[in-house]
This record gives sequence, C-alpha cells and structure tokens, in this order.
Amino acid sequence: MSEHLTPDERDELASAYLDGEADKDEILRVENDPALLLLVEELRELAEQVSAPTPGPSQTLRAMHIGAALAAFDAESAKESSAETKTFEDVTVTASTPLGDQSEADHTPGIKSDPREANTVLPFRRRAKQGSARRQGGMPAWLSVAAASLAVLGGVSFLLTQDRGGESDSAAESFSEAANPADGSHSVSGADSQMANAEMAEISSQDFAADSGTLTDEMAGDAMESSAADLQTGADEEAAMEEEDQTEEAAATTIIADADTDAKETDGPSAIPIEHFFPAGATAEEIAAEVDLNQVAIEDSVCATTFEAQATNAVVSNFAVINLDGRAAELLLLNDGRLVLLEVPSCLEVGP
Amino acid sequence: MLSRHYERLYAVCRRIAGNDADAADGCQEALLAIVRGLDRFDGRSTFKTWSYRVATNACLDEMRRKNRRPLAIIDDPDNLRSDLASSDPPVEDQVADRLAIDEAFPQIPEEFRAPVVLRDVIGMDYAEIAETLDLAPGTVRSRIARGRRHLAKQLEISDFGNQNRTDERHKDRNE
Repeated sequence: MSEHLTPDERDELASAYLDGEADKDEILRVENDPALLLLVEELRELAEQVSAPTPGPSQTLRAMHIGAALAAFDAESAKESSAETKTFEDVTVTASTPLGDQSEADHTPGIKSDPREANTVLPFRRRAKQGSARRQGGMPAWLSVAAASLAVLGGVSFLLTQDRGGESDSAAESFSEAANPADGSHSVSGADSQMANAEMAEISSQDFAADSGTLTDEMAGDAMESSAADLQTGADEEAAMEEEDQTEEAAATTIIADADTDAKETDGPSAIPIEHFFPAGATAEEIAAEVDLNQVAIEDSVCATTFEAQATNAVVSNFAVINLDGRAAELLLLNDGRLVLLEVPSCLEVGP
Repeated sequence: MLSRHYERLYAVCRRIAGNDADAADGCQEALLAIVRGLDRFDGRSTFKTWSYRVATNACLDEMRRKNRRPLAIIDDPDNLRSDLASSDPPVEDQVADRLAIDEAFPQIPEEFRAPVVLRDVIGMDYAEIAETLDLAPGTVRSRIARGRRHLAKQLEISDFGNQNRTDERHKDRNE
C-alpha cells in the first residue's frame, strides 16, 4: 500500500503508471491502491493541461524562422567550403574538365538544383593510407616539387620581365620582400605571384573555375606559400628544374574523364559528415556499410556505385580530374560550394 | 526537414518559454543551433531525438540569456479563443488553464521542465527522453514525477497528492 511509500515515491509510481512506464509489480500496486489511482487521475489532468495545444506560430513567423535557418545553413556551408579549400593545398589542378556548368546541372534530369536540397553528402570513405594524412596537413612531396617549379619558372619569367622593363605590382613586391630568404640564395619575385595567378587564371578560364574562383585564388595563395617555404629550405635550382620536369610529365598524364551526367536522383540519408575519401577500389559491400541501402541503389559495378553515390549526395557543379602522385583523382565542386576529392574508379576511361 | 519538425520544435519552445514572444526567440535560436550543429550530428540517434535535444538546450539557453521570468503573453486573444472554441470545456476555463500553465511552467526548475515537456508535449517515452537529454531512464522517471509535483505546486494545487485529500476524494467518488 502507498502508506509505506514516501511522497516522492508515490509521485514517481503514479507518474510512471500514467505514462505506461511502470512494471508489472508497480501496475498491480497502483491498481490495488485507490489513493494511488486518484493520484494518477490528478496527474492525468495535469498532463492534459500541459499537453493542451499551445498557440501555433504564424505562417509568417514560420517562414521567417526557416528562412533564417536556411540562410545560416548556407553561410555555414560557405564557411566550410572556404575552410575546406585550405585543406586542399595538396591538390594542384593541372587540368580541368567541366562536367557541365551550373545551368547544365540544373537541367540534368535527376540532379537537384537547389543546394539546400542537396545538402546531404554521403560519408565518402576516407583513404586509409596516404590520402587522409595528406589532406590533414602533410605537404606531399610532389606539391612541393610543383610549387618549387612554379616559383623557379616565375623567377625566370620575372627576370625576363625585368629585362624588358616590366613592373611588378606592389602586392607582389611585398610578397617578394617577405619571401626573400635572409641569405639571399633564392629570391621569390613578385612575378611568382603573377605566374601562379596566370596558372590559376588558365584554370579559371574553364568552367570549373567559374564556380570556384575562391578556390583557385586560395590555391594560388597556397602555392605561393609553398614555393616560398620550399625555396627557403635552400633547395638548389638544379633540383628544382628536375622536379619541374617531373611536374610537367605528371601534367601531361592528366586525365580527362567522361562525365556521367545521367546520374539518378535518389533521396540521400540525413546529414552526415562530408568530404571523405571514397576509394576507387571500394566494393559495393564496403560502401553499403556506410550508405543506407534503402535510399541509395547500389550496383555491382564500382563505377556505377561511385557515380551513384556522388549523384545521390549533391549536385556536382563541376569537376576536374587531377593528377595526384601519379594517380588520377577527381576534385568535385558541389553546387553548395563544398569540395570533395575522390579517387577515380579504375573503370573510368583514363588516358594521357 | 526543418519544415517537417518545425511545429513540434516550436511547441517544445513554447512550453518551455511560456509565452509566444519568448517561444519565437527560443525557436529561432533552436533552428539556428540545429543547422549549425548538423555537422556534429553523427547519426547515432535519430534526427528527431537529436533535434529535440538541440532545441531544448537552445530554448533553455535563450531563457537563461534573457534572465527574466517569462510572462504569460497572449499575442492575439481572438486567435486563442478560436483555437479553443472547438474543444469541450468552456473557453474561459481553457484560457484560464492555459494562462495558468504558461505562467507556472517556466517556474519549474530546468532539469525537471525539459523531461515533462518532452513527455507531455511531444509524447516521447522515457527511453527516448533519456536519449534526448542524455540521462539515465531512472533519472527521467524521477524528474518527470518531480516536475509534475513542482507544476502542481505552482498551480497551487497545494494538497496535490495529499493522502488525506486523496482519501476524501475517493470517499466522495464512492458515495
């Protein structure tokens, strides 16, 4: 009987009974105790008052709240995109192939055009070995090589320009001053900046950069920082020239892949961490371990799987196939501003 | 997704805040907290559970920030009247009850308020509430009971659960 219970225990017992959370013994105890049953009734009345509908928000307020939240989401996405750009210092775009411009993506059947609707990106599998370490901040050797090469090329170009009486802009001069090592063994001229910008402008001239101007600018900046850092280590010019050859060779093998624009639209799962690697060799089973199979059609083909996964997650505004340590990889620009780096499936047609 | 959950998120904020004005502010903060925290949503809980957790915390934070006792405010009494018109008890009683609850609810200590809201407003079971608020199920059970006790006290049901009163009522009923 409830006389043996403290007031708190009685409340708890009656409350749990009311909510259907009491166990068998407790149910029996309550139902055999009229006092407890009355307490349950009182609690029920109280709960009904609490659960009585409150005035709902007006449509205006609703629209305002959701609009503000989506705007915040867009802002967050842009911020993330910007942050992600910085993590791509290891990626040098040596050539780019547009998958299609945004308007094309908008009209591609099955591809969502609203970035807010395309905000779910599947957790691409992070590369187990080199990839994650490289992306997490390690400077890969080939990028240093490329950066050094750029710098050297820029230096030569600058000297030629100087001979012709060319001028550097003040910002470039500032950079040059900042980058000059104390011993003066190598100088990073303002022309480096021009050079890098020219390189990037070349990329920018293609559709890829139309959507990723910020990326290219920042990559240019990264490249310059890299070159400055590398030159400050005192690497000799000859080595740099050799490395430049390697870079050019790598660039020559840059690949243009056919884009599969027939991606099908499928509702992706809810928001999930983004921007992971999804290795070319991943099997359907491995992907299935991370992807809700009910929402994504997984096919046997690795190619199909890869593109399916891409297509179901966001609009790929553009992509570039890049040379990453001699392996092909795709740098995807999603239409919400995020970037994803993927290894190219071996089944894609890849040629020099 | 926000649209789908908006009404219930607002209802949580409305009940926690106790009035429309503060509920609106709290709900806005809650939605912002949800979109800003999306990248931290790890999928281990359902979106519903996670979003209620974020919303509850955001609303409570908003209330703390305001550092004042919420007032029972009816923005448009006519709307309230029409909302209630279809229900059985007299409108006046319903208005009085709602005002009383609105006034009383924010006075309940936070740790008890959130479980009661999730239980009575959202209809979550104890396990879901435990997951949402990151509490042990036993704690949820006792907090709901204590929250209801606090609410009864605020509503001046001073002898709520009183053994003698309960016995008297029981006697009256039998008669």
